[in-house]
Parts: sequence; structure tokens; C-alpha cells
Amino acid sequence: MAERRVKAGKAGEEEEEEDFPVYLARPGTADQVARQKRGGLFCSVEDAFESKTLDFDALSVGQRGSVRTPTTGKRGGGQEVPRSPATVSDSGSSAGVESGRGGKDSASSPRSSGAKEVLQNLEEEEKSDRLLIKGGRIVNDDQSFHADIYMEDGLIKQIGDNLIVPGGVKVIEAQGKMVIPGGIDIHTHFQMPYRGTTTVDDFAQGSKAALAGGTTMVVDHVIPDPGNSLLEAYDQWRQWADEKACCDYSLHVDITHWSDSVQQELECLIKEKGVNSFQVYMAYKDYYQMTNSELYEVFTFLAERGGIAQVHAENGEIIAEEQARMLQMGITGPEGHVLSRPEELEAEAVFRAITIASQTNCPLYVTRVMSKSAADIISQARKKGNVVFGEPITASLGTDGTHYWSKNWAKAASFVTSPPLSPDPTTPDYLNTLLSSGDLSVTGSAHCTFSVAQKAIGKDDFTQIPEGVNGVEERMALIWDKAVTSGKMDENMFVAVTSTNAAKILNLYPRKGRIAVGSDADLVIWDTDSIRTITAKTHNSAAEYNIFEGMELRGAPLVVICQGKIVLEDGNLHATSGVGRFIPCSAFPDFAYKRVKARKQLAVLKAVPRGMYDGPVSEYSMSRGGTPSASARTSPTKQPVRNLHQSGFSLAGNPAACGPPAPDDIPIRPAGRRIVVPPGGRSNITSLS
Amino acid sequence: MSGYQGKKNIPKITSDRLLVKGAKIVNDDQSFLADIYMEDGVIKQIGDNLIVPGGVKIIEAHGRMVMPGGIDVHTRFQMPDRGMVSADDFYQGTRAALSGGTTMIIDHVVPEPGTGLVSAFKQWREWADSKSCCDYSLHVDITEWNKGTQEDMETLVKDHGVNSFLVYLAYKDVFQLSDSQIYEVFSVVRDLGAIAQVHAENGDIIAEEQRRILELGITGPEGHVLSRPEEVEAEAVNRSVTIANQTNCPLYITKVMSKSAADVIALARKRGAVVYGEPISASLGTDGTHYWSKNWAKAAAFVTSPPLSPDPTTSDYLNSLLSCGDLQVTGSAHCTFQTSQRAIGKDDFSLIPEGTNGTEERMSIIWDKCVVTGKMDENQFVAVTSTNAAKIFNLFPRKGRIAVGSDADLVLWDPDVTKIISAKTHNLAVEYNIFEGTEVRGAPSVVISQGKIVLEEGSLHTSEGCGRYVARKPFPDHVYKRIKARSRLTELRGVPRGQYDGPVCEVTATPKLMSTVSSVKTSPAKMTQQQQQQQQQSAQQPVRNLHQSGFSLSGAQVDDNIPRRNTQRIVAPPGGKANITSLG
Repeated sequence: MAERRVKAGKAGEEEEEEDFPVYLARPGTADQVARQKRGGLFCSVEDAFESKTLDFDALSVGQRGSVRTPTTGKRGGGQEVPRSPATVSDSGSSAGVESGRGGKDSASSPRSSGAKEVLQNLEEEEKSDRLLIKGGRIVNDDQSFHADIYMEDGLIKQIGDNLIVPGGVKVIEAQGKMVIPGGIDIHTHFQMPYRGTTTVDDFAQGSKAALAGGTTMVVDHVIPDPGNSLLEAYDQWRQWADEKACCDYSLHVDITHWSDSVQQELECLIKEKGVNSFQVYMAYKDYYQMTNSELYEVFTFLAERGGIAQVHAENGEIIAEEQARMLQMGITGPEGHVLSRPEELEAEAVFRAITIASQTNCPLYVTRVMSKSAADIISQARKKGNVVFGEPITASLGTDGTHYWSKNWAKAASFVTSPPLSPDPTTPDYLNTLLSSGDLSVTGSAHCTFSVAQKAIGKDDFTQIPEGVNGVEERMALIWDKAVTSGKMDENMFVAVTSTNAAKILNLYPRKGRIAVGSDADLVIWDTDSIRTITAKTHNSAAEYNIFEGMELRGAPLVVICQGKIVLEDGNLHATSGVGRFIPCSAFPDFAYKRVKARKQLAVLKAVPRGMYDGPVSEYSMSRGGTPSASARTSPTKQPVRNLHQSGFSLAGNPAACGPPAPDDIPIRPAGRRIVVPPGGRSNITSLS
Repeated sequence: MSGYQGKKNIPKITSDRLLVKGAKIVNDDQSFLADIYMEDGVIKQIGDNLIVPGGVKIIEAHGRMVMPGGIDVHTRFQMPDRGMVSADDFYQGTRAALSGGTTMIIDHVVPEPGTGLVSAFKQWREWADSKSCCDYSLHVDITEWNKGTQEDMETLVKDHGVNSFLVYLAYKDVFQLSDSQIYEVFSVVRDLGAIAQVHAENGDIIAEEQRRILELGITGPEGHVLSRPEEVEAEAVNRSVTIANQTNCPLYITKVMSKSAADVIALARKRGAVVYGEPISASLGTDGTHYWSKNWAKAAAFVTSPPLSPDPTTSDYLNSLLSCGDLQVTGSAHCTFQTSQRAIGKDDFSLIPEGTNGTEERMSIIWDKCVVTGKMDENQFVAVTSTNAAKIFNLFPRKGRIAVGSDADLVLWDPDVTKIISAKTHNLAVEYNIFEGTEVRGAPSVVISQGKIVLEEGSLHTSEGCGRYVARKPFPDHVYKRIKARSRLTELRGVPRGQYDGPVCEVTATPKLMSTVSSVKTSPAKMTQQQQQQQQQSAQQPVRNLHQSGFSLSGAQVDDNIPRRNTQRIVAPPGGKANITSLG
């Protein structure tokens, strides 16, 4: 609090000396960067921050001391507190300000917003978690039907007509509008640390944006630094999210290095910590990237324990070469990012990942499908019967990579993500089609936003630009507009790709992703007719740029109910930071593993029973061998630097073997090889048949 | 059988003057009737009623087909493997080739890692010059990648007439190169105007699978195919196509053994990639079901990499793709081992020396499977057995075509004769023939190599050591015309923007390694460019890798001229706001 006030004070000073650049006023404070109110050279989106200034009201009102539990009613006396003049003056046009936009790093408490608030809690506090939606059309992934829904304690208790409900229940008249399960954004990077800074959207800001867009659950990626403990990173992320998340969440864990201890940690994460999906990287050479052998081992490991293997699919080695080439040619701007990562490299890596997964009989999940060719490879693999799921993201479904050539550096940089958006403008349409046909299964946002100042780390070298785009808020509306409005998919398929399939993969179905008795009360009343224009001025993310800027989308959530509480109504967001619960995912999701298990039973290999070969055997030297041992990262050009983090892993016990293998370097088994010349001459098994 | 009318013992002086009368000349583009007159190993005249000197030996073709002698683009005669040598040496091998209608072979030089390419090349020259019975040329395999390798490649291209280099994606820890190394090799190959060949299999996965299968107790030859599933081949083909596309380098896939690998090639060609696929006699003529034979020696005889596909419809499929042009050339990958040599791997399939026969059977098998069945015509047959190979490796029109001035390597083809392939009658030194018992229709009745009759009435008249080394020039038109056009097109340009002058976030001193550096320093391909790089360093901010600092020639680091910066400075431009930051 104190810190915030200090910042607020500074903001006040800035107002006074308007011409003085903000970044000079506050050198060194890089994290959670100054949301500069105008005047900053790169805050060129007029009014982009108006609605995001700190709301002192919210901070000073109650809640601080109270225990945050999901079911506690949050509406204290806060509503009655009038908006302070300070807020009004600070936010310029206070009348236009929609409530619910917290300060970017405020653990936003319930906002006070005057008249509209009344709608939310007509009854006294205890009843506030009893809700009845009347006259809605329930849309699940398999069917749509008209029924009322009664919710209590965050669960759906009854579905049907003429429900008998207790008195004093808050009733929402849906008037025939669609009621869909709340969206599940299966891929976010909120509050991701990056070289000492953090993405501008933390769990509070990010999950608020999610709720505003009709997404009631996010699945974030835990990214341990290579060499660090996965469990520690997991605990860290849990702590951040528990403090701030406004909606339920779950976690993927990224495997950034591979060793025995990682295996033990994975075991623990799967069995005790409720994580069933793990991402490996085929890109980011010398950092996160794994070799093919490591991928094989990770996949084998996960297949045995019922995890889902996710891959970031790009060929990191070639990217590194191409990046060096681009920089040599003097291309340093964001266009170098897409030029050095052509879509073929994405497709190649997807192909390789599928091959390895199919060898190890492990279900595969390809995150961020950004290009046509990668999507094609996934759909081909599915036709061949591989268990593989593809995840296009909001950005790839909604926009394209032509913006990398924008003359505006800041705009071009805001599109930087990996794999990059394809410069082919027909890509979004194509991906939407594959999503509709079921070749791609789920959608995420890969929401990972950086401020322009953070992106500017790479102003002289595109490889240094922090990667990530926004999309958590726009995801549902964008898919509705691109796929449903255009007739590519129906509302049921829409539910499948925005929530149900994700819930199935995470093994959360039917708790999430379905409207059924006993499911969580995460619902969205969807307005198919509303038309909205996306702009950074009104979005709920803390980023200055929105990559969908100016896009007009049809379809938006009218009411969002999360954990049985109304969080969005009449355009007002009432998110409560810290109410989000961690939802543990269990291993062996049926959706993926029923098939895998059946195949495992089939795929037993048998040797051919033969007599012993007893014919003559030539002499040979051991200079070359099939070395069935796990390999040594050898490379003749690159004198290998022994990686101490991984030294425990090599089964060969010789991780740094290099050059031509000397006879005693290579473990050929069995060691002693006799040359057999049987006295009886050739037996019949060697004779010409 | 042949229309030969003269005496066998014609005086030596005239023995290299030959006239083929009444032949139906089959080239890859057309067939026509004409006489062919050859002298000094070169075709001198083609036409009707040729005026030729007296005392010429005349072969009456009686309207039968005369086609360019076959070119077997992939052989491994006399290949050393762990102290042994493959059973067919250059004499035995080229004899077998000639008896099957193949008048030129291109062998692979396989330098042991650690020995230079040039010295290995000279070794192979020595072997082949002393023994080869027909013209030959050499591919060189790149089995390791270091500073010397690139110089050796340049020497080979400029002084020794080599224009094709093979890299291995398989044989982990022995021959296998990493993706970055392959990228560098391809870049060098393109700059030299050569062809990049790949042995396409994912060696990493194979190593893992081999271990798994041995752990399961499977040690016989069936383990070989189980540990190298065809997906692994297709994956590697796909990867190499991707890298070749990135580097704008022509790609040649050796040994296409499976449907899925062939499909990947066909798809890549449809997308415009410059890629060629080479199915071999074994993949066109038989399948991998024999790996499960109860007879160990028979099963082991089929061991080759990539393995024959257990799917029995594969050969038919590959023949179809060969006929429609999706695959272009055929080799034999002839590399034979005696059963006693194979028996090294009797307890462990991963030790079985790899290779199958096929140089003798290649032409007949393709004729039988493709032309007899109506998949291709005789002209396409010539294209896939010789002309395409000659074009890709820049031997055209000296080889692969019947034209005035071309080498007098001809085959008089008899489409009606049937023959049963058997180890009892073949010209090889091994006990097994993988095509044992296959009945093929079509065989050469007369084979002329270097203007001399080497096969006639079923008898071979080869002379050891008469084979010449045929040098090949770089930048074959067939391949490089497209590559050159593309490299002109693909010049990349940056977007001209004003200097970014807004706030910059501070970052911690340990940067996220983006690895542009390590590969720059260690790559021999890029060493030569270091001078230019030094001037361009202003754009690049490499991180000095202390472990690799010994590599710099001068002791100075490439980034010496750049001050180390732990933090980014925040620049406040005196001019105030620039328009490049406005929302565009």
C-alpha cells in the first residue's frame, strides 16, 4: 500500500511537470513499469491509460484485512463510499470510466461504481451466491436446449423448467439468450518474469481481462529457469496466483532442462500437485531447447505417468543460424523476428514432435499453432491416427504478421511472439476453418504482454525483444466473430473449442466446460448481436498496444458468472482479486489416454525365435558402432562444454565424448565378443534357403 | 540374340570402331530409328546410311531398343566398415553393374571421422582406378564438420571434380551432424554449387529405440526394422527439406525406402522445393517382411538403413512415384557383406553391417516393375536410370544420352527375355541375393562401355582398371538455374525506421541467450566472414562465450570493439518525441 501511494504521488508530480519525460523522473524502476500518463513518447495511444489509473478508493476501502475465501461475500460498505475527488481528477473523464478497471498492480478490490452496483446484490450478503438464470438457452458442446439454471455455493444445483428454489434468490432473466460454459483459456503467461522484469499483466490484471472477455478459467505456464527446481517454481507461481487471481486457474509446468532430479519433481507434480501437462521447448537454443533424445525421454516418461506433453514447436538450431544471418545483413527491427522464424521451421518441428510422440506413444499437444503448414501437419497426423491436439491462439486466429513491417517500431514490436504470426494474411481464416472442422482442438491466448519500454530492450536487436502478445480478453469474441458469425462452426462447436475440449484434456471435465448439475457455476450469457471495437483505450490489459486494435467484433459476453457470482453485468466488471482457486488436474485424462492405453496393449513387440547362429563370424575392429547408449552431446566443431547440470544424466557416463570415438570410448555391448568358428561347420540356419 | 554378325576376334586396331545398325534409339525425350557409329569411345555419327570406315564391327540391332547405359548413382563398393571391407570390391562391383546394363557408377567416399575428405577421396581414387571396369565418379560423405572440412570441400569441388556431398542425419555419435551443422554444410554446399545429399533418418530417436528394443530382448534382424520405423525416416526427410529450403540449397535424398518419406518429397516438390529422391533397387524390388525370416542369415542379408519397409505395397508405390516424376533417379546402394561379416551382429542387430545388393538387378527390376506393367514408358525408363542422374550431377549430355559427342556407353535392351534372379548366377561375391527367386522380364543383350562391347551373348568381357574417373563440374544447370534465380529474389531488407528513442526497460546482466553467438564463432563457414562481420558488429551484441574463446585466430574477440553493457541506458532525445512512435 505504502509503495503504491508513493507511486501515486509520483504520478501526481508528473501531472504537474507535464513536459518532463516520465522515464527520467523515475529511473531504475523497471518492474511493473510506469504506466505513463501521456507525455511519454511511446504512450501514443491517446487515453489508453485513462481508465487504468490507480483507484485510491478501491485501495482504501475495506477488504484488506479480511480473509479471502471464494465464498465470502465481498460487498462490504465499499459501495457506499463515494468516489473520491482524487479519483475523478486523476482519471480525466470520470464519467466515461467504466468501473472495474483496477490499477495495474493493485490487488484490485471490488470497485465502487455507483448506480449499476445495485443490480449485483439486491439481497443481503448470505444469499448472494444463489443465482437463478431464467429462460436461457443452454449451449453445451453436444446440444442446446432451453432450461433454467439454479446455482448455489458456486455449483450448478438444478437445471430444468419450473425449478423449485429458495426465496430471495437473485434472478437473471436471460430472455432466450445463450448460456454457455465459461471459457477456459488454456495458455496464459500472466506475471511472467523476464530478465528481471515482469509482464505487465499480473494475475489480477490478466484474470480480470479474462473475465471481461467471458473466460472463467485460465491455465498458466510455470517457467522454471533452467537449472532451477520445478517444484520451487511451481510454488512461486501458486503463491502469485493465489494472491491475485480473480478466477479459477490451473497450471502447466514447462520442462526447461532434463535430469534425474527433474524426473523426481515431475513425479511429485503429477501425483501430488495436480499438474498433468508439461511443456518442452524445441526452440530457444542453448536455453530452453531440448535435444531429440531428451524429447524422447521426456515423452516416454510422461506417457508412463499419464501426462500430456506440450511442445513449443520451432527448430531452434536453424532459428539461431537465421538470426545470426539477419543481424549480419543489418536487419535489426521486428521484421527480422519473422524473417528468421519462417513458418517452415514451425512445421518441421511439429512434424518432428509428432514423430517422437508417436514413437513413444505419448499424447501430444502443440501449443501456439501459428501457421497454415503447422496446422496442416497436425491435421494430417490426426488423419493418420496420432493422438495430437493443436492449439491456435487468439493472435493467430485474429490477425496476421504483416504488421511486423510497420514503420512504427513500437507497433511492430508489440506483435513479436514465437512462433511469429504468419505474414500470409489468409492464415487466420485457414486456422479458423481447421478449428471448425475439429482438426485443431482447443484455443488459448498465449497472453503475455509487455509494455513498449520492455519491448524496447530489443530496439537494436530483434532477438532481444521480449516475446508475447495479448489475447485473453479478445479470445471468445474473436472466435465467435471469425468462426460462428461466418458460419464455419455452430454454437456447440464454439463451446467445444473455447472450453469443453480444454477441460477434457486437463481432466477437469465435466466440472468445467459443461453446464450440468454438479458442474462449477462458471457461466457466460452470450450476446450474439453486440458489436464492439477492440482498442487499447478500453481493454482491460495493462499493455499500451492491442494487436487487434480497431477490429470490430460481433458477439460479446453479456453476463459472466464465475464461481457462482456475477462478475460482469451491464458492462461492469466486479472481479475480486484472490478469489481464484487452484484447480488440480489429475493424470491420465480419458480424452487422450483411452486411446493411448489401448495402443500400448497392442504394441508389444516380439522377437523371432531362431536357433543360435553358429556360422563363421568375421573379425572386426570397434571403430564404429551403433552405440545404443544415450548420447553424449558430441559435436566435432563445438568442443563440448560439459554441462554440469546434466552430468548426472548420461547413461554412458561420458557426456563429453567428442571427435572420433576411440574404441574404449564407446560402450559396445557385450564387451567381449568371440569369433566363433564351429568345428562342425555351418549349420542349416545359415544355409541358402 | 544380338544382331552381331562379325567375328569375335576382330583386330585390336578396329575394335573400338563400332556400328550399331537398325537400332531404335531411346532417349529420355524421344525414340527414333537410326544407326550409331562410335569411335574412340565416343559417338561420332547418328543417322541412316552412315559413311563409315571399313573394318568396322557391326552390331545388328534389328529394331531393338538401344538406350544410354545406366548410371548407378549410389554404390558403396569396397567400403571399409570396422576393419572389414564390403564383399564386392570395385572390380567385382563394376562387373556386376556392367552385366546388368549399368555403364557408370557413382560411389560414396566415406572418410573415417578424423581423416580428411581429400585424403579419403584419394584413397578411393586409388582403389577404383586400379580395379574399376567402367567409368565412375565419386560422392564424398561428410562425416564430421570442422574447420578443415570446409577447405577440403572447396578443394574437392575445384580440383577434383566432386559436386555432391552426403551428410548423415543418422548414426548418432559416429557420422551424425546436428541441425546447425547441417545448416552450415548446406550453406557451404550451395556456395560451392554442389548438391547436398542426405542420409535421412533421425539418429537420436533410433538410438533410443535401439536401446529399448535390445532391452526387450529383441536381438535379431527384426530389431533393426523395429528400431527404425518409417516415420523416423519421413521426419528426417522433412527436416532436411526444411533446412535446404532455408539455405536455398538443392537437396538430394538418398535411399528413399518408405511411402511416407516419398510422400514428404513429393509434397515438398509440389511446394516448389528443389529436392530429388532416389529410391534404390531394394526398395523398388522387395520389402521388409524378410526381416522376420527364421533364417538368421537371410534376415540379416536385408539389413540396410533406412530399412526396407515391412509394408509389402511399398515397392509398388515407389515405382508409381518414380513413374510420375515425383522421384527422379535410381541407385542401388550396393553394399554387400558376407554372412560371416553380418554375423558380427548375431547377438545384437545394431552391429550388423548394413547394405544390400542391387547394382546388377537395378535396370531389370525397374523395367519389370514399371515398364512391363505400363507405369512408365521406355523414355521415362531412360530418364530414371540414367538421364536424370546425368543432369543432376552435371554429366549431361556426355552421359545419359545417345547423341553425337556423347560417350559410347550404350545398352541394347531386350524387353522380352525373362530371368530368375538367384545368388547362384549373379556376379557378386556374396551368398545371398535379396531378390532371390524374383522373375524379371527385360535384360541387356549387349552392353557397350567406352565404345567396347563388354556383354554379349551372356558373356562378360571386362578388363580390370579401364574405368576412368569422370570429373563433375559444379553448378549443374538442371539444379542451379532455379537456385540462382531464387537467390536473386530472396534478398531481404530491413524496414527503414527512425531510431527508437523511447524509454527502455532495464534488464539484468544475465541476458537470455539467443545463441547467435556460439554458432557464429564455431562455424567454419562463418570464419571466413569474420572480417566483414567485424565492421557490422555495431548491430550485433554478442555475448562472449569464454569456453570457446580459444577459437579466435587472433586472440581478439569479435566483440572487442563493443563495450560491455550490463544495463541499457535510457536515452532521452534532445529533439523530444519522434513520429515513429505514434500509433500507425
